[in-house]
Amino acid sequence: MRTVLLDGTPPGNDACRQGLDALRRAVSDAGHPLECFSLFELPMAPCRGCFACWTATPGRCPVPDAAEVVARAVINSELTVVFSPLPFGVWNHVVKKALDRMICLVSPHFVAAGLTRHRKRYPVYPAFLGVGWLPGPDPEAQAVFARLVEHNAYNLCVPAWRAVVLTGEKPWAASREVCRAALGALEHPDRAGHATGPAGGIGCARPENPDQSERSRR
Amino acid sequence: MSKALLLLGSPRNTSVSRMLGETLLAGLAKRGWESQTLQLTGLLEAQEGRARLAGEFLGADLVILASPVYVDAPPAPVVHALEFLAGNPASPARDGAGPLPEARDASPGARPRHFAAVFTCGFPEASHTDICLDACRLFARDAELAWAGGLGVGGAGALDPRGLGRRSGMTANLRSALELAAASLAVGGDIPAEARRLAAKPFVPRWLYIPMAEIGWLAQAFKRGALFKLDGTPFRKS
Repeated sequence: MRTVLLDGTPPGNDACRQGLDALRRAVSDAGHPLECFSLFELPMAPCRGCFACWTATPGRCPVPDAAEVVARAVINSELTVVFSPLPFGVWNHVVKKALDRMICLVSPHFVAAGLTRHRKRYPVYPAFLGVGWLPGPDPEAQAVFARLVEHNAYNLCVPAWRAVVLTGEKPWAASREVCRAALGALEHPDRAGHATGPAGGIGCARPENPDQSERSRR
Repeated sequence: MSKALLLLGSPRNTSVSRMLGETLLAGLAKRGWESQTLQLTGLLEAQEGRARLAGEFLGADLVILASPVYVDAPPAPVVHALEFLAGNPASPARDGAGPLPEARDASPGARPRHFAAVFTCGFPEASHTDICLDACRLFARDAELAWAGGLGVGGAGALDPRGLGRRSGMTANLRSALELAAASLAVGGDIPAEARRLAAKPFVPRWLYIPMAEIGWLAQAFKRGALFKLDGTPFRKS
């Protein structure tokens, strides 16, 4: 699977970099060709909320910076992997900057079946693997992250998704194994089902309406 | 006199989230509070902005974040500011130093500092704001603030950013929600459940909101000369 990795590892955070390294090794083990974007090194402005990418230059943000290169790579990949530390259970600001600039990949029109979302712009979207990193276990942040990835998958219209959280106190090999299992499930989405994966991974073959799945979990 | 700080997450100068935040501040001002407002976009890029944010944050008894939802979560500049204020390792600006040390006031009898949030989203369902509010709750935990709760408002595209009075019939529930929230926050309380419920009530039914929003997109595209290109796929490999 042609894989794009959006890396939000902060410079100087060696523990987090170990998590990234385990993830990259797992992608390599799976034999996926990888294109990696180190987002802290890329010049990218935050979204200015002008909706020009929907109503002036549809499908393309008019701000000329690295966001266009990243968005183009994402939509032409078969698997998009996002890696980031999890401040307060959500993507860190550099990853969020890239994701905010990716609304050009969906249409402004609404789909009103289930929880409202935007309509697809492209016929095919990549599978989505969200990998969060935490220095230690934090069940509250992990729960928020699982819901975030589920919502991202639903709103980005992806065909299959999975969320895993790596923690700093786990050995590198265990982190690699968690990532390998998640990648394996995404390669065979028919076998992924809706399951609790090893070491905190969750995933689904096709994104459900998050409202419904939240109700079913309660 | 108690002091509130309003942090604005929208990059736009006029926005629904700003208007709702300012309405909350007006409710606090009626009760004797003074306030300060900071727009977060671009604020952390210069040392001066970082110092201003830290100073105002430390001097506030109540911090209110008012922001739109972007891609299921707070916009990037909001996440950046919260990382900075909590001293999160993801924010190189403060090198993972932990909560601003001056923020901790362990002296007996010290009043706890509170944090509250208002999130708006363009989808008709207010539940799209839930993740943002949970992230804010975790920020409060990490920054050692008391979480006073938040309001989630869906269907923000139906609101006029110039003020709630302009569509007064439609916004009665939201005005009551903000008034209840301001009254409780002013005396150091949490945002009441009734305020959250009223804020989350749709202004118009979804079957009406969605066609209105679609007309809005088409009108905007017409003005910008892109009406017949809305479904373009510029990044698709041929």
